[in-house]
Amino acid sequence: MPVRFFLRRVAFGVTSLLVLTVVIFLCTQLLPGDAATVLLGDTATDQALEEVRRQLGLDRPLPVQYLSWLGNALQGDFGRSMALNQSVSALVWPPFLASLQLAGIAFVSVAVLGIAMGVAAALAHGRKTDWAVLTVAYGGISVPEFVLGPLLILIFASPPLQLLPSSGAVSFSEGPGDWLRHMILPTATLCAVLIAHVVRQTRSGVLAVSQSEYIRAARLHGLPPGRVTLRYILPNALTTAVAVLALDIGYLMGSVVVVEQIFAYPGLGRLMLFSISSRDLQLVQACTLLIGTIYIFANLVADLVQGWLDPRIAERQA
Amino acid sequence: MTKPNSTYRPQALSRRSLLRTSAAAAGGLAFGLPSVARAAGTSTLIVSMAGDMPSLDPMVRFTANSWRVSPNLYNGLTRFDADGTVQPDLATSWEADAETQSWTFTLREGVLFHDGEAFTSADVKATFDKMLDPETSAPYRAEMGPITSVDAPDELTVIFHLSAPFADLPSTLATSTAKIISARGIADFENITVKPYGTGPFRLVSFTPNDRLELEANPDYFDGRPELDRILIRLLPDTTAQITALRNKEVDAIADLDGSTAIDLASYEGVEVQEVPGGNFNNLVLLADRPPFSDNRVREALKLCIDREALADVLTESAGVVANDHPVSEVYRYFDADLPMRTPDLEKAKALLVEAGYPDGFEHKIVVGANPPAREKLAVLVQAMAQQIGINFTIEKMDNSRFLSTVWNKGTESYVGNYVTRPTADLILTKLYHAELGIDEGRWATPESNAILEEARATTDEAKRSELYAQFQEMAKNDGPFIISAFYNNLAANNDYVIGFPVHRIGLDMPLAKVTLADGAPSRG
Repeated sequence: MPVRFFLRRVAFGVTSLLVLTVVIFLCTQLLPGDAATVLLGDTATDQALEEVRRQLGLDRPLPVQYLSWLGNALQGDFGRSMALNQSVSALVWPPFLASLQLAGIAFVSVAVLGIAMGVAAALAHGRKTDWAVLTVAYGGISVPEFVLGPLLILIFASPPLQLLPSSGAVSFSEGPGDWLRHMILPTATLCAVLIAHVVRQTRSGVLAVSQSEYIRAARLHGLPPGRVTLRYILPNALTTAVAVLALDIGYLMGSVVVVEQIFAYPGLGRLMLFSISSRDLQLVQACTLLIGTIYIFANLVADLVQGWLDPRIAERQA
Repeated sequence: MTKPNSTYRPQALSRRSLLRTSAAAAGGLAFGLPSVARAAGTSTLIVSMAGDMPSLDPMVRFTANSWRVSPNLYNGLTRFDADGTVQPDLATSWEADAETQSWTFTLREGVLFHDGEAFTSADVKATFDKMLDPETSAPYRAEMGPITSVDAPDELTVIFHLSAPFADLPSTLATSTAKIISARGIADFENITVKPYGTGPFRLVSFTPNDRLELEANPDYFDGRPELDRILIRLLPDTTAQITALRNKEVDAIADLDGSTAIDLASYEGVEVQEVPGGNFNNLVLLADRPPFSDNRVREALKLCIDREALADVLTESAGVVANDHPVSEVYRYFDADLPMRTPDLEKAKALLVEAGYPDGFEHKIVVGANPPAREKLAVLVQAMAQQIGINFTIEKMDNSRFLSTVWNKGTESYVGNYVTRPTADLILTKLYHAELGIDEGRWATPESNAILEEARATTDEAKRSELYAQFQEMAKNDGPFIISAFYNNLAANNDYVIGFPVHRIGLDMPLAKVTLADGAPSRG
């Protein structure tokens, strides 16, 4: 793997993160209201507001606020949450790990199921299986998370079925079985929305490749169909699917916010919603940075995987 | 405007009275039942709430859910019972001096904090010194009354010194923001959001902000160890998830409901919906210091075209009562039940508008914040009703933070406010109508109106107070700057094996010390 390609990608990622923090900082300034107005609510008086702003450091000039935040952040100190009066690092980690589990399981399921379904559909091109796979996939993408989530709760968690818990989460260490049962509905909701992208890309990729000259040549040589599919079609067909998967991570993180709210899942999405509604600058910045890092990291991995699947890409970019 | 299932309310009422009876019966059985329940394992109550609970801090960083929880971790000097009457808590008795400018509280002996230390007057002093310190920015500091300082002459006596006569101190000290934190908690105030320093009937086991809170019975509680061994509070923001969890017995009770969810829940077997009158309301603010509403004939015309019954029914989703354009509901002590309810009179309304110089009506804007949605509902319904007399409202909706920072109480535009029940009628009236002690939200106060409020809060003469507050309610109704059409009932739901789940008329307190679980409760090893 060309080192220059890798380094350029990393440098690009870090720059993006830095720009992101500035943009987020400015956005929170553009939003009307601040942590002080939220904290005091309908008991606010001008005098009390000023006092709280002074304590929270919101009375300092903007560049000073930003630079002092950045300086501390670079040393690993993300400050104290204004709304919760607790260290941001301590607040962010447990929900982050919880979200990582949820999103991770959803992502792996989407990747495995999506590619498998896409390949199955392509191989059965025009037949019943193809039709069925596409119907299921498009059905999922047509129903938004905030409809599908409650629907799944009503079907699978409510009487009479009551197969699964309706909401919440337990940690893996408390009991793997219980942990899994709590994961199924939120993960299913996330998968349903994303899987169509991957199915479609995989299916069209496989179709395009299997009609190419070299596949016909391989078939004419009498190679067994399974070998043709695995050795020659898939690696070439999957590059687009991998690109779509990387983009889907962004989409996934948006969906996670909604799904966590529906299923009362104690993750980063819920924390982020709270931090924005309480105008908690430090917390917003930390949540965004984490999500931004994942997104950039995911794209980096996707680039590398694509380069591995198709060395021409890495060579071109290096 | 359709009326939701009209059989719902009588049903809920009979359920409630049934519940009272069964609670009394359970009280009688208290010697038999709990031992059976305990033999079967620990008794754990799981309560779900919507909304956030980022913190357990009772003084500065709190939300509605922290208020619900705080009577379980903390005690105040006084407390409200379910009916809204002040009861002794950490103080056993209190009295004011002749001018009502200082109050002396005698404290309960032998109370222990969760850390094992004895409760004394030093803790009370530390708590209120902290609250009175402007650096603390305690949001409800002003609503405690005009306290200037707190003295602790001996271990079991505290004296509150006031800057003006104030008769309601025992009531304001009963609120959730006046819980007594130990002197050690005040010293460790930066951790108060996650670490309670109270005397309450339950102790902290674990707390994950905005997710779950686990408590265990305090064996040393001064009023006796609670029946429940454990409490788990779960935050479930989604209504479907909440209802399903209750029906599945994944949770045993839901602490806050809206009217439509209550109607839904009441239809399920084994679920009890509890409904008591409350004092939360939305007010449409009509600024009295500028046209068109500076003319009381215009304010009255608008009040006359409102179909209160319909408005109240839609706003509260059939779980509320009609209001009379003033903020004092029946849960307050000085509510004037004899003040006649205004009825719609379109002819009179039109005539008043002509008299006021608006024969063709006028255009006007109402701003609403996005939360709660009732703000917008109220505006839309008033818009439709006002059209009948030629007043054309336009509605502008905005994000709540923007609303709070640019419109609310700026005195520039009409908008829909949203207020929760205060501990006393005085506090909500002073807050909304007094020019210096409150915000005079409608820019309406006069020296006379201010004087009535000041006189009423200063005297301990009950008859005099009743008379003054009745006078003020009438004034607010006839002349005041608000349309207030409904008070929301307070709602909760629980599975029928939960005995004595509390729903208070005043405040959000959810004290669980007396709750018991009957047969049918799921066993949770």
